[in-house]
Amino acid sequence: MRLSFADSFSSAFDAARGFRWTEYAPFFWMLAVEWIFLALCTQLHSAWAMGLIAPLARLVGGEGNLHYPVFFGYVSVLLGWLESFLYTVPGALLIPLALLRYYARTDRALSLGAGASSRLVGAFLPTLVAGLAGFGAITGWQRFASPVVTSAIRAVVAEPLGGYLGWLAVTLGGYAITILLLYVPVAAVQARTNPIRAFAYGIRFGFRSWPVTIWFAILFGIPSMIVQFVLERQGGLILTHLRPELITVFLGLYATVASLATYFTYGAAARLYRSARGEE
Amino acid sequence: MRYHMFRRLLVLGAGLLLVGCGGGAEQAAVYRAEKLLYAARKTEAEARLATPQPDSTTLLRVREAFMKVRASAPGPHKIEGDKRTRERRIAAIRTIGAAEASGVRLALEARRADLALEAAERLQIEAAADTATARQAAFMAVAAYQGLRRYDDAVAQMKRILATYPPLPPPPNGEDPILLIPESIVNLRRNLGEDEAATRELRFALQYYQGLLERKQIPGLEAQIRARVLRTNLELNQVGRALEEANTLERLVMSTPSLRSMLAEVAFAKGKIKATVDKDPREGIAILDRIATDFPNSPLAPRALFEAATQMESKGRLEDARGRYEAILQRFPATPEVAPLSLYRLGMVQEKLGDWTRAKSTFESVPIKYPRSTAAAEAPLAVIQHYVREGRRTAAELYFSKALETYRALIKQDDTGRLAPLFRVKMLQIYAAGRDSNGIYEITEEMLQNDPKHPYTAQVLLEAAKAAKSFGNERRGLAYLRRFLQDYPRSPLAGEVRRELKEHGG
Repeated sequence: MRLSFADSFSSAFDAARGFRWTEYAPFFWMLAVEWIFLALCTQLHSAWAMGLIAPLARLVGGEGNLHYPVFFGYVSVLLGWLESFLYTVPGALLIPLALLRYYARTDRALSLGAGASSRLVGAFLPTLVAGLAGFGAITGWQRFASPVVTSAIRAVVAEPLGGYLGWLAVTLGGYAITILLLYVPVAAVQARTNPIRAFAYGIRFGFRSWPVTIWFAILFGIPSMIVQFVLERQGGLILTHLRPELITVFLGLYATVASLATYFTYGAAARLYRSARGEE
Repeated sequence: MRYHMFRRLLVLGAGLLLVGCGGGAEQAAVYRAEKLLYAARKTEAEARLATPQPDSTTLLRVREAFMKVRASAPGPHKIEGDKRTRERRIAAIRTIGAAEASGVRLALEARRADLALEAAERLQIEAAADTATARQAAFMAVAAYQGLRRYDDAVAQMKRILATYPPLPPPPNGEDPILLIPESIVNLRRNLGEDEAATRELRFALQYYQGLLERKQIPGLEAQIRARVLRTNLELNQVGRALEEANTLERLVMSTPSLRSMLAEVAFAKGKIKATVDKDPREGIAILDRIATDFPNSPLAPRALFEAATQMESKGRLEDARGRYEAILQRFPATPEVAPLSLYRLGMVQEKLGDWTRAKSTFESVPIKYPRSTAAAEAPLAVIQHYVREGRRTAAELYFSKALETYRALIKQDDTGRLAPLFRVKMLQIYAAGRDSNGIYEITEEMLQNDPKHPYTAQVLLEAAKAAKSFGNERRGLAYLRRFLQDYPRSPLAGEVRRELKEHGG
């Protein structure tokens, strides 16, 4: 198994150049749910929208935020929960589906359905477990490690740069963790594997390819990081000085660029995995 | 099979949606109200940004935006059901309450106290289930009655509040506004020139506070009530009782570390009593002076300095008094209770010290610096009185026009109309001194139009009647007396006025 930056670069370049709607569609479905959710958030004055959003907010313990305009300060948290759910549970089926559609470019048999569905079913469990593990790791990182990292950076670098660098370190740390689990769905959709082997292979490949993967994951993630930065740093300004509803526009933009970044990252990962292990 | 499965899923989904919508409709109504409140606040901020003092049309237009809130979540909102439902209904009532309070404020600013009263009375009924909002509505009604110059109704409403709502434990560094009501009643009576009624209300206040102490209160609230009892006793000149209360309060404060800041209250009372009662007031004055240095952030600090200054002034120690008045103006220039009066008294002291040039400029600065104070009403007259005392009649008459101009400017600045009657009475006095019949009639008509049934208007009617008679305009004089009887039938002077009218065949 060979892993080089040249392969990584050509995989990322190829992924960025080779956008195909059918391969992106599973990600788009998840994005569509996020858009619908955000649209509902702007309609909470209607009983039907409130009837749908209130139980969600209640589920994650944020019912007290269902007031105007404070809700728009909370909607990013709610979207975060929804995004985590979508990419973990339906994503356990949809991400492998997108990967299979990519592999179907070279394997026509896959596009016929029979082989695809068995590989899809087989990929569900390891992808779900990887998703849950990733969610747990990111939550742990944000809750426990990020305050330490932020204050350590702030102790060395003065404000406001210290604050910016702290935020960047926490965000990049999240990427670094996610990359370790990125290859689980890629390994899980390969032929002649089983859930446990796929999970183990995926993790092992994630560790080995970490240096050559993280750069393109960050590269594709830059637009979403920029939007996230604007939202986190200027969210208060939007809430108090502009229309609070504008927050949902920014979040919609964030969800869109994050969805595209995820698609391109998985596309590049699938290409790198194939070039490293050979077509199966 | 697949079709049946799909149908079941559809029914389940619809069911879940309906369950969600059950409270959803009510929660959505609250949210809608909050959104409208936010929009109304933004409208007001924009209107005030465009013009710092918006006209009444603009104010009423902004008020309309606040009125939409109530329309979006129509009551009555009964606080019942499970915890979540109760919370939702309280949120609805409070949102409406906040919007109505803004509406009342704007209506009062636009001089439409009738609209304010209507809103306050409606809210009191609709928000009866939520004590906090109902209480807020009751306070709004007081402001509306005052705006309508229905002072007796305002006092009755304040007493209703006292009877209905017990005072709440004090917020951090604060006091429940309920405890301020008795003092507000007294001040209202004083501002109306009803000194006897003010004394009666002082006694009522004392009775009210003592009644509160009959029930067990938490130490913080008990200390605040005792401080009020102490102040009221001092105002009633019940020195012995005040001293007794000061000692009780001191014991309570000493036994509760969190109440140490109230030691200022005890020191103030003891200092004031000593300065008033002792033959040598120096010790009492020293205590009062120490309050300003030991408790500089206490609201009693400027009052203590003022008290010390007035004691000095009354004992003829004018230089010492001047120093203290100047200290108040330097350290506490924004204290409405004492700063305007200190500036006025400073002018008096300067005059007594023979520095008339400085005294005159001090008097002339009072209406400029503190246009919403009773001292502003007294200052121009103080200049005239000085000239009269010195026998400079021409100088006094020349000053009339300047004084009248000052009062006109003060009336223009008096948004609430609280002090305008007092300013007009002063104007009438100047017109009467100058024997200006047109001025007297003009002011009388203005008062009848702007402040009918106000106690000062009664005084003006009688003085104008007397002046009209002296100018040979008996018909006008009788008309003023008839108006007096019509507006003040229960006045102690009504009998005398009736007799006079009878004598003149009116």
